[in-house]
Amino acid sequence: MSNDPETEFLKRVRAQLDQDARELDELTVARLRAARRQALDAGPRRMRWLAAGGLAAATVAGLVALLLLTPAASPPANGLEQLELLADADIEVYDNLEFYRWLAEQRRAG
Amino acid sequence: MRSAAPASTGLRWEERLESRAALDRFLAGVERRALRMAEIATGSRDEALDIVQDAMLLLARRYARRGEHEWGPLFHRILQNRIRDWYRRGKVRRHWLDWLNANDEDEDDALAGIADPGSRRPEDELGNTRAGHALEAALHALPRRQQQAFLLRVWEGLDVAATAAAMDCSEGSVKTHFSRAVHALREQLEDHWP
Repeated sequence: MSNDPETEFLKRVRAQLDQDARELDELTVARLRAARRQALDAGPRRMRWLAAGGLAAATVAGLVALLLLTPAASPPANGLEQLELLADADIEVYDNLEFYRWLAEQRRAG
Repeated sequence: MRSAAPASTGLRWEERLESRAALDRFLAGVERRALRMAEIATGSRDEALDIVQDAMLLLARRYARRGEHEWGPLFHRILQNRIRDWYRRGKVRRHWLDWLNANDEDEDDALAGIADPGSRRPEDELGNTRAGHALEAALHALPRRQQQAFLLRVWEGLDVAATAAAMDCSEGSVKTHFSRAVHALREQLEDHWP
């Protein structure tokens, strides 16, 4: 193991941070425990919501496909309409696309 | 007479209990470091507790069914997003406070009672060692991205790829932020840890 000054410095920083975390006061520890309980009791979202979300997404996708595949039957959506369609989607999914890709890569690698 | 529950139901119940216990272990293992990271970022223990609570809730609600090995990067991604949101809200709040102060100079200072998020409680200060206090001040003074990269790499032990995923940036950016953070911290703390 390297004993260069930077490694030593980082070891000391880590030790100090660990000590600070260990020495948290009782009230803070109790509040953390309560927050953890609350999260565990909340549990995962119910499947029916996921199913409803999936159904809604499929419906939207179907409508979009219908609009795109039948240009003669309906005028093309203008920019504002397209923006509204996007606004209905889960923006967080787009925001985290890069992260989901990374997770998938990790899973494949593992 | 009541019929016995099907074996599959019992198994699912056991799986659910085991899954809950696993998530409990994970959160218990990470919660103190998460709190300190959020506290260093915000300068406020109460704000940090709120941020960690939100992150725990979101992980449990959305990702409890994911594999345990995914919880770490996911939790830190959520935590860092919450800290980023806190900074953004702070910017808006400061903007309004500046505006109110500029318009209410002659009136009583109704905002004087609002806690300064950067302030620390005296009892917290007393518990810190001198070096610990200097470290916290130096970490708090780092630009947010440098602070994140440093704490995730050094304290949480994430590798460069996982840190980049948690911070939503490239691996090159993580290396740059980390290197600058180490340089700045060594310079500021050389009196304590030469």
